[in-house]
Amino acid sequence: MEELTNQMELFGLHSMQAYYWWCIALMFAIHAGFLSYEIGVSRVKNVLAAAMKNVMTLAVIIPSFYFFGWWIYNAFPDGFIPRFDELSLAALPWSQNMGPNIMDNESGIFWGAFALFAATTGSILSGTLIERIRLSAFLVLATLLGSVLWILAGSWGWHGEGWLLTQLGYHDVGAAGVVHAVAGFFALGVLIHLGPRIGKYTAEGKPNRILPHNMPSALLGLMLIFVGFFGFLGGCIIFMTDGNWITIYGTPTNLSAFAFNALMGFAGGIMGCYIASKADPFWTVSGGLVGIISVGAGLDLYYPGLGFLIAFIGGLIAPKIGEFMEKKGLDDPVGAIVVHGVIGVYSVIAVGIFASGFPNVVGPDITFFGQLIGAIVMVAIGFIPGYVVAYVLKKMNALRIPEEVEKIGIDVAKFPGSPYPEGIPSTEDKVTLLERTSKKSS
Amino acid sequence: MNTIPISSWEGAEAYFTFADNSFAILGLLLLSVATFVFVIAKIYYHEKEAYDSIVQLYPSLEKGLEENHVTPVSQRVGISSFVEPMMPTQKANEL
Repeated sequence: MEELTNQMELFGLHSMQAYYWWCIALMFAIHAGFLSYEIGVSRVKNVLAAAMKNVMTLAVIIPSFYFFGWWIYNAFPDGFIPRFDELSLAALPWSQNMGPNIMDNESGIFWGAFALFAATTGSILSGTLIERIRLSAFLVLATLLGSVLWILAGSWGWHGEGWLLTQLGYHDVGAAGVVHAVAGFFALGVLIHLGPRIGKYTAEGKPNRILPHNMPSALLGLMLIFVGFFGFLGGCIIFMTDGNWITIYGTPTNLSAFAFNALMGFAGGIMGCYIASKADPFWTVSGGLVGIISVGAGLDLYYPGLGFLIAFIGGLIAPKIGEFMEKKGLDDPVGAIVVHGVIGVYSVIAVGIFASGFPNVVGPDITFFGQLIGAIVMVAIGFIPGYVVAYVLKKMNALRIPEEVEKIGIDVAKFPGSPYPEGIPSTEDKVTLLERTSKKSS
Repeated sequence: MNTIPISSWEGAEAYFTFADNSFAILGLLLLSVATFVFVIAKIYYHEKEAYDSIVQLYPSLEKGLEENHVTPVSQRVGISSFVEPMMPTQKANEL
């Protein structure tokens, strides 16, 4: 019997590792998606720059998250004073747990999943700043956001002992606040100093339309992000080997709960955006993301019909806020500040409105007040550092590319290559070609 | 150089290279961090060099394009200077 119990335990551990391993793999689709999305939205002169920025995001956030990000998560659940308990010491990059260890099945796989969450924040930031930020400045900002800020927010509000949970009962199961709102408002802080792309506004301040050079690439990118989101949301649940699966807050849940609301939210967001944007393809497809994020914070709690309606309302407001921001001089080509920042906050507050009173295992029940304070903390922890660091970089003349380079295009100035050396000519199939040539010869 | 912390798998825990040598781990960690910082610094200088060269070339590029009856870069919103315009970007400005 003891032998059987041991075997079952081992099987559970292996299943857990396999589960998070594939969540990590799926989350790479988010980055493939952001890459394709930003390439499509960029003008043809900045295609390689957009691609390189996305690849380099992963390359800087993964190691910096190893150097200090994972430690921040484990050390700061109480606020700004770090803990030096066993968990926090085990997350230091020189610990015996932070490398191949036969007795530790968890550290690597959890670190990996969190590193991909971190990289997602960098990709969210990336889209807002395309076509005019220096790559070096972007990488500094992405490292700060991905390996310090969001994970500090995560330690406070997405951790079984985080102070937002233990003091206020904060609930944000799908990381709508700690990932999306933090990243979105960080992007806003940076954008204020970076400014719009040249040509985006007329001398009178009216916005011009700068069209994506490749809309199919942008739309395919969004579809890839949706695929990746199933890895992201899967990584938001704790795989238990000896009982019911739980949320990151220790409350019971399961993948069925997540599936109901993620899919209903996805559909509701698309419908809302379709109506509000009058069938604008960019906003309609972005609506899927709006919907999933709208229900993200309460993914485990909502009746799916309610999740659908919350997402639908999110979809109705997102394009309008995007339009308003554009009129106010905020040039966010991919709408990341609205989709991630504003809708992330909306998601956290929606839990306060519709799920107040749900009990927590640790800390008080969920309340509107707790969710509101949590949302304010997420906005502040994203916006303030983004604003300040971008200001410093701007003063050092290290934030934005020179005007001449922006006009000519970053690809020509910086990268040894061309995205479309032969252009994108229209082509014919064999039958059409033969028909045409035979007509000519006759 | 002995990098291996175990002599048998029996009772092994952390078995990665240098697991039993904290000085080596610290050294490798510092080297990794230094490489990380070096790469970002290198990107900054590479960018600066590339952009400075374009800024310097810019007036002659503009002139050359004008002489070849190609719309000057400063009058375009959308596309690179080295390809023919494929959309009326000047009009986009006037909208």
